[in-house]
Amino acid sequence: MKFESLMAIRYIFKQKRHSLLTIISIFLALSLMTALFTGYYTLTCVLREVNYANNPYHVRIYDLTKEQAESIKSYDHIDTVEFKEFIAGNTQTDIMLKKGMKDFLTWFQQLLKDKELGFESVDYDRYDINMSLKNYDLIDDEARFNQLQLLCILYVFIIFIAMSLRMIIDTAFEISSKERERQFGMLESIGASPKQIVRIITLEGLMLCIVGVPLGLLGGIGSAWLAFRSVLSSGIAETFIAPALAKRTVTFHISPMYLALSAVTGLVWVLLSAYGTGMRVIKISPVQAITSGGGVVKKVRRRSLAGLIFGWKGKLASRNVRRQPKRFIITVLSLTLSLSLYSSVEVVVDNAQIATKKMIMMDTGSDEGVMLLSPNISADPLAYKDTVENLKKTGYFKAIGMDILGTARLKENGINTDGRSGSTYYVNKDWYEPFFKVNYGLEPPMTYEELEASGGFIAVSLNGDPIDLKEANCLYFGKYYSDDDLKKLEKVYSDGEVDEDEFKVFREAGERAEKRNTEKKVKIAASVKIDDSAFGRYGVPAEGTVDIVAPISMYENGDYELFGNYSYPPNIYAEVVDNASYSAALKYVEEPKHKVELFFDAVGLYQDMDAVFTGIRLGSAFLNIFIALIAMVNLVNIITTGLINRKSELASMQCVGMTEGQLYGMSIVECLQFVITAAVFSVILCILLIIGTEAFVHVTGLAEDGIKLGIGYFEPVPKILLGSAAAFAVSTIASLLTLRNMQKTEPVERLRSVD
Amino acid sequence: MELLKIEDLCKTYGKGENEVKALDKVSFTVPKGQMLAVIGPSGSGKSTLLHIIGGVDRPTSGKVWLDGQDVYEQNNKNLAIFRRRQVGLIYQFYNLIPVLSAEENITLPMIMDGRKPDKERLEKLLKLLDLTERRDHLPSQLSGGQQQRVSIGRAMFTSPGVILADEPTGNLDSKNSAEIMELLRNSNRDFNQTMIIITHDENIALQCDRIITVSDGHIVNDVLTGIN
Ligand SMILES: Nc1ncnc2c1ncn2[C@@H]1O[C@H](COP(=O)(O)OP(=O)(O)O)[C@@H](O)[C@H]1O
Ligand SMILES: [Mg+2]
Repeated sequence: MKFESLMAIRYIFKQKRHSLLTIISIFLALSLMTALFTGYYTLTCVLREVNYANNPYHVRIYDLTKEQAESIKSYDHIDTVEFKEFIAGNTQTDIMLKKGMKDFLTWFQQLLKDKELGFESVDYDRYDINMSLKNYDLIDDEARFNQLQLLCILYVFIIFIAMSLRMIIDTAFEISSKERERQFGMLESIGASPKQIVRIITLEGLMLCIVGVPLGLLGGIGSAWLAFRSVLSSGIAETFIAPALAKRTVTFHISPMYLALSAVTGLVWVLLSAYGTGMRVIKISPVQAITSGGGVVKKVRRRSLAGLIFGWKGKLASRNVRRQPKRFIITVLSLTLSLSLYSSVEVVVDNAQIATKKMIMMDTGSDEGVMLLSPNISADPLAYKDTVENLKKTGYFKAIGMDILGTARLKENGINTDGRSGSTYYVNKDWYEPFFKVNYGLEPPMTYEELEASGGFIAVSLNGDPIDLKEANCLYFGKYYSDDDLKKLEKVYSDGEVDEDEFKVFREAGERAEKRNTEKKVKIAASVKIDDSAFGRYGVPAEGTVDIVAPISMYENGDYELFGNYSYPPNIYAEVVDNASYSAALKYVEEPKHKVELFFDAVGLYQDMDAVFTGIRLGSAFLNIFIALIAMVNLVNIITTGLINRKSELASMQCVGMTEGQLYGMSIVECLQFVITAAVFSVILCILLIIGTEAFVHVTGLAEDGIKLGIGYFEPVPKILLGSAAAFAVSTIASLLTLRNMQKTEPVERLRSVD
Repeated sequence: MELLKIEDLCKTYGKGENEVKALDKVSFTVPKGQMLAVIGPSGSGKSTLLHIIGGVDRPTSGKVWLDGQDVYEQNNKNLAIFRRRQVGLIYQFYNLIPVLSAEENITLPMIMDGRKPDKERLEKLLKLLDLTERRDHLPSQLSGGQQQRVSIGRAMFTSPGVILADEPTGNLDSKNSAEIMELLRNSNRDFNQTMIIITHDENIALQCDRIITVSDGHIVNDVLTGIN
C-alpha cells in the first residue's frame, strides 16, 4: 500500500483544483443528505415530544389501587410507573416502558393476567394505550418495523435526490482531466498493475472523504439548523401547537445514527465513484494513454448555429463542445434540472397558495378573509341587533355583513309546483354585493338603496327564466314555541355547542311548537336569472326554483313576526380592519358575555395558511440554494477541466497566431452554448411541467371543485433567464480565470508540459 | 544465448478501409548484452514494435519471448509485474510522473513492487546520472536532459532484462544527446545490459552493436556494426 498511498497523497496535494472540487462536491452532496436526515429526525422528535407532552405514557390504566400500581413496578420491561389519585377518588397510573419487547399487546395482556389487575384487555374504559408514543419510542418489534419501513422510504427518497448528486461526485471524479488519465497510463507502462491504479484512485477518494465527509456532516447540520430556525420564525409551530408547548417541544435534534448513515452512504458513494473511474481508466491501454495527448476526434459537424453567429470562433467552440458529447450532455442536463427546479418551485408554491386562497374565498366572498360569526339564539328574534351594534362599536371591523335565512316561498302558478322552493335571504347593506357575487356569481340588479326604496324583493331564478311578475303571493311558515321551550332552547345555545342530548331537546321543542302559515302579497322589485356556472357546486336545483333576496329592513320591519317567536340567528360576516384588530376581535368574540359565536375564521385560516406556505417557501429556498450551489460547482468543474484537458491544443492554436483575446472569446462562446441549450431545455421542461400539472388537476377532478391553477406558461421564464445569467457569469469567470492561469507559461512550454 | 525472441509479430490498427499494418511478420532475436539500434522512416512501425516488446501493447498475432517467458501468455497482473521488473522504458518526452520528485520517479518501479529501494544503489545511480543535487526536484523544475536522465535512471534502477528506448535523444541538443548515449553505452558495457534503441540519428545507431532497419512494418536490413 505504500506506493498507492504515496501516489494518492501526491495527487491530492499537487492537483489542488481537482481535490478542491471533489471535496466541495462531497461536501455539498453530504450536506444535503445530512440536512434532510436531520430535518426528518427533528420532525419525528418534535412530534414525539408534543405527543408526550399531551399524553405522557405508553399505557395509562385507570382506577388501580396504590398497591396494584406499586406491584407493576417490578414487572418486565417497565421503566417508570406514576400513580396519581384525584380528589374524586378515581386514580390513573401512567406507565412508561423500556425498549426491546416482542409484541406490546401480548405483553400487556400478560401483565393484566400476572398482576391480577381485575380486568381483561378488552375493557377499553379501563386503560389508554398511546400507540404513537409506543412507536416513536421503538418499544416493540412492530414499532421497530414501522420505524424501519419509514426510514427505508425516506432513505429511498434521499437516495433518489442523491442520484442527481451522484452525478456531481461522479463528474468530479470522472470528467477529471485527460492529463490524469495519461499519468495513470504512464504508471501502467512502467509496471503499475491495474489493481494498483484502481487502489490509488480509491485511496484518493477515501482521503478526500476524510476532509469532505466531516465538513459535509457539519454543513448539513448547520443548514438544517438554519432552515429550522427560519421555518420556525414563520410561526408555523404556533399554528399547530399551543405557543407555550411549542416553545418546550419544538427543538432541534441531531441523531448520531442518521449522521453515521449519511457518512457511510457518502463514503460508499465516493468509493463506488472512485472505483468506477479506476475501472474506466484501466480499460484504456497504456499506449493509448501515452501516445494520445488529447481525445481522438472522430467526427465533426461542418455547420453549426454557433458558427453562423460567432464565425470561426463559434465554429471551433461548437466543435469542441460536440467532441465530448457525454460531458456536454451531463453539463446541460444538470444545468437544466437545476434551472427548472429553481424556477418552478416558487411558481408552484405561489400558485398553490393562490389556489388554496381561492377555495376559501369561495365560501366567504372576501379577499382578505372574514370571521363568520353568529349571535346566540334568543327568544327575541331581534336580539341580534344589539350584538351587531356592539360589534360595530368595537372598531375592529371595517364591514359587518349579515344575512338571515327566512322560510318564505312564492306561491304562484307554475312556480314550485313540485313543492321545492328556493330560500329567503334578508341581507344587509355591507353584505349585499358580496352576497350576490358569492351565491349567484352576479352583480346585484339594483343598488341596496333602490331595493329598500322599492319596498319589494329581488326574485332570483335558479333554474329557468326570470319570472315575469311585478307582484307575487308569498307563503310564510311560522313556528311558535311555548315560553317554557324557549327557555330550554336558550339554555341549549348558551354554550354554543349542541350535543346529542341538547339536540333532542331542540327537536322535541320543535315538534311541540305551534305551526302557523301566513300568506302575503309582496312586490317584486327585480327579477334575475343566475349564471349557471355559479351553481355548479350545489348541484342543479329543480326547475322553477326561486330565491328571494330582501333587504334586512324588511325583516326587521315586520317579516320576523311571520317566522315565529324565535329566529335562526343571522350569519355575520365580519371583516377585520387589520392584523392587530384581528387578535383583539378574536378575544372579544371569545368572551361569552358578548353573545357571539365564531363559526368560521377565514382570517385565521389565511394566517395559518400563510405560515404554512412561508414554511414551505423557506424550506424550498434552502433546497434551492443547495441546487444552485451544486449546479455551480458542477459547471465550474466541467468548464475548467474542459479547458485544462485541451491545454496543449489551445497552446498550439496560440502558436499558430491565435491571440489571447480570441482564446477568451472562444471559451466564452463555449459557455454560452452550455447555458443557452440548458435554458431552452428548462423552458420546455417547465412548460411541460405546467401542462402536466394542469392535466393532473383536470384528470383528478380537482378542477370541478373550483381549483384553477392558471399558471402562465411563461411564468418561470424570468427566473430561468436569471438563473442562466448567473450560470453564464460563473462559467465565464471560471474559464477566464483558468485561461489566465494558463497564460502564465509560454505556449511552447504548454505544448508539452503537464498539469 | 538469446534473451529476446520475436516471432512473426503482426500488428494492425483500425478496420476495413482504415486498416494499417504497423508490423507485418517481424521476427528476430537479441542475445543478452546486445545493444541494438532500430532505425527507419517515420511511421514505419518502430514505436509499435518497442511497445509490444515492452508489454504495453498487445500484438495482433505473433509471439514475444523474454528470458524464455512468453510475454503475452501472462495475465494482466503478471504483465504489469513483468513491465515493472523486466523492462525499462525510455521515451522521447520522458513521461515522468509530474507529481513525484526525481528520486521518487527513479525508485517508483521498486516502490510499486513493494520492495525497499536499495539506498546504496540509488546514491550510485544518482551520481552516475549527475542528479545528486537535483534529487528532490519535480520534473517541471528540470531541464530536458536532466528529465531524460531521470527516466534512464528509472529504467535502469530495477536492473531489468531489457531497456527499451524510443528516440531517447530526439528532444535533446547534441551535447545532451552525447551524454545520454554515453550513459546508455556505459551501462550496456558495465552491467551487460541488453538494450534496444530507436533512433533517427545515424551517429547514434553506429554506436550500437547491431542495426535493424524497419520499413512499412517489415525488417529490410539487419547488420552488425562490429563495434564489439
Ligand atoms: N493507435 C493507433 N491507431 C491507428 N494507427 C496507429 C496507431 N499507432 C500507430 N499507428 C500507425 O501505425 C504505423 C506505425 O506507427 P509507429 O510505430 O508509431 O511508427 P514510428 O514509431 O516508426 O514512427 C503508422 O502508420 C501509424 O499511423
Ligand atoms: Mg515513433
